[in-house]
Amino acid sequence: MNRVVIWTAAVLILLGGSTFAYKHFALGMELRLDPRARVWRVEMEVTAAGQNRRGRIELTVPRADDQQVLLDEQTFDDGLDYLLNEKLERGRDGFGPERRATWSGPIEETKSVAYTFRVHLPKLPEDTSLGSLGPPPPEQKKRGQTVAPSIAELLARLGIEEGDDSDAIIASSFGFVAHEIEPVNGGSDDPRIVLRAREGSDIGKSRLLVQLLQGAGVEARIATGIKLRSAGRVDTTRFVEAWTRGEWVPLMVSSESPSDFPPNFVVLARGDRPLVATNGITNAHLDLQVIRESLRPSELASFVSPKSPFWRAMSLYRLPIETQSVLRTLLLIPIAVLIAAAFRNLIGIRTFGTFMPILIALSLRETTLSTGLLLVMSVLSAGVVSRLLLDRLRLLFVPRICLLLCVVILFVTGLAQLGWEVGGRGLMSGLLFPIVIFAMLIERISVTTLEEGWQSSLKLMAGSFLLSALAYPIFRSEWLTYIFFGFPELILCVMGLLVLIGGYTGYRVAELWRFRSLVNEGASDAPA
Amino acid sequence: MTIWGALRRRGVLGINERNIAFTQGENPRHLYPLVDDKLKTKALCRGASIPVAETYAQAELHGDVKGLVEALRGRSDFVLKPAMGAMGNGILVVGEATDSGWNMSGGRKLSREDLAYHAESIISGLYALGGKPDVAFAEERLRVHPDFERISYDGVPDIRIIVFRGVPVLAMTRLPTKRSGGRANLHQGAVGAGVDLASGRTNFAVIGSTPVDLHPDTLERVVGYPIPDLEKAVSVAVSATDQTGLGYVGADVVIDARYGPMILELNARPGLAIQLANRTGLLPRLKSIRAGEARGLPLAERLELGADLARRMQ
Repeated sequence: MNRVVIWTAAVLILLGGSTFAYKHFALGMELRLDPRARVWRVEMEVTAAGQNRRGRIELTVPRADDQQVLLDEQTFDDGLDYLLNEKLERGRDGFGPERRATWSGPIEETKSVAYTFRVHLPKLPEDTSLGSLGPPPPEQKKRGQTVAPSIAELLARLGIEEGDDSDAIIASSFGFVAHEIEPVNGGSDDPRIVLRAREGSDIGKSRLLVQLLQGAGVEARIATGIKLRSAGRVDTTRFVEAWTRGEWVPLMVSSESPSDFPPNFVVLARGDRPLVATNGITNAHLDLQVIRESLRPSELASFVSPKSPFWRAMSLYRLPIETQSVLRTLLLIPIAVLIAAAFRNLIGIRTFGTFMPILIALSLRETTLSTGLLLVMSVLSAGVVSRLLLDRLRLLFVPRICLLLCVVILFVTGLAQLGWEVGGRGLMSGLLFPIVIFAMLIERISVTTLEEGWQSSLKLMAGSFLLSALAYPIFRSEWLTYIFFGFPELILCVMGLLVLIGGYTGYRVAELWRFRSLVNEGASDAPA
Repeated sequence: MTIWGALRRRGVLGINERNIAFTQGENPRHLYPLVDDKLKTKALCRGASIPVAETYAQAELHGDVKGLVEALRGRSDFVLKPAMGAMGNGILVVGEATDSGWNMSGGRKLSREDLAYHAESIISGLYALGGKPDVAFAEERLRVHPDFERISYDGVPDIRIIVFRGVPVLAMTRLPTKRSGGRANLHQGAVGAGVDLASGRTNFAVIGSTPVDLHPDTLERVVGYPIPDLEKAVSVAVSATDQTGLGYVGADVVIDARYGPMILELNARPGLAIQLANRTGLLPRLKSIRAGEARGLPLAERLELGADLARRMQ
């Protein structure tokens, strides 16, 4: 191998490796993920269209308690004045302290402000005892006269009386709302209508539950939070908190039983009102994104705010979540193409296109491998059959590819529809398919089949699927995602390895087989 | 690894080393179009009085296809090819002209629309490297030399000669079979028979990587077979590569029954199967040429050098 090649590779690998080692040993950045660490980053972004005058955006933001620890908070102001308003004693509705982020100033066109925080949920999911969610209610109000007749009637029918054991009241009220009221997406939010129609939205059901509980003398309130997941866009969830045995107990009307509450949940606000309030603004819109960081809070700190200002500036952990999500995937591509290069130049297995199998693996990362490959194969076979039929029409190249594109899109649409009917959301993620790549792939498979025969085509297909299957776990690996996101300098090492593969003049594994007949020769006729 | 060591000892050239040391190392990139475009190769050869098949017509744009089909109306025995095709893909061999079109080998009919469609596909870049727009051209169909008739099936055999720095290094003849569909393509099942540049006879033969003695269809012996006009063929091949300025070239020569050896095409990335067909590695010969400096020598001396190399390395 060329000496310059080796030196170039060595420099790249050393550069990447030493940076990596420094960050790990000197800055204490952790290499292992802790699946038990329960830290998420949440981004609340409000987009609002102004009217060319002063306006104000108010966003209720979460506060810390013994259930949820806030690690760091960040705001993005988009040129507006920012103020964090903390009412330590009582919130507007008497539901304890609340925090509101306020942005104000002249708002022209569209402004987008954001409040981002990392939250640590110290309680493990298997710990089902639900502790206190905040301070006790301010005062026990006298009820009775304020109970609406329909609620009183229902309470009587359910056999609930004021003064009963609060747990029993909660159990029977919850049982009624959860099981006898039909949940309807987009149903009514008004508890009276919900009660009459016996169907309604989760908000309507929650409000009805609060009225029932309050009617029976149990303190209850609406609260808003989000179910955290590994990554992506989330919606807020309304739920109910009821005061019993000296603590607030969360109740989710969409679940089966009162003790059934989602494990990874962060409470954003208490009280029955929207998170966003505006003034002088039209069309305010709240977007929520989450991403899970499988790191303990102390480990996370070394990534988010390293001691050295240089590395703090370099930390990708400070970027907006959407950018982070894109980068987390993007930074995995070098390692996947490294495999593609090794596959071709060290092993010598032919595939349809050098990067097509990698792109297909990338597009399948949301589904399981078997479902994904099955989907790909069905799209491809439908495409190849159409292509062979189209062959008789003798069409020009570009319109033919466009027709294939249409076939693929129709097929994927059909699959999505079928997937929805069957009830699996798994098929839906097939929509991530790189459609154009599929059309080109179908064309190539068809031409190869026509030109070189189907054996040749099948061989290439097998090679391609093998490479896809090898690249797939890379895109799925939480650990690799974390490593390349936390230590992007490792891409220099990958580049070094690519330089080495690029300069490799030895045999490919496949060639050992191809030239095997040249091995069993007498050594006599081998030239010196 | 023992297989590895054995291949190294025999001097077998692998594809990675070919790419780095020979196609990249010996062939300046800007000269590739001369051999990647068959029309350019033909023009180059014609300019140096090296025999090539006569071009009947060509079509570069979709609008030219009508003219191409018109020019070919009533003409028999031609081949429609993509100028930038690879591995023999997209080649249409046309026989006798009929009222409505042509007959093809195997008795299939070819209408004028069929021909136009094929030309359109070629122009669209279906057969070109990287799918780039291509040129379709028709040239005279060469005839099998009578000496080859016994060892080929329904097609025209050719001779592949590897020329390194102006010296012929290895040669093989590719004999069409039923399985290869009459095409002289090794990966489609044609016989590859190594040709000894010293004796002018085939010395070994394979289908794929399996050694064979007989042609699978004609059942004639393909080993020890004298190649007609080999000396002339090698001379034509070396002269053609001299025109290109490339250092490592595979030249494909057809021995036509009427005109003798003619250049079919040149290849800047010649395949490695020639080593299987000759049961020998390329590297010892390539290294020996690299050690000396043959480039300035007159043609006759370089041809002699190739034959001499064949004697010494056998």
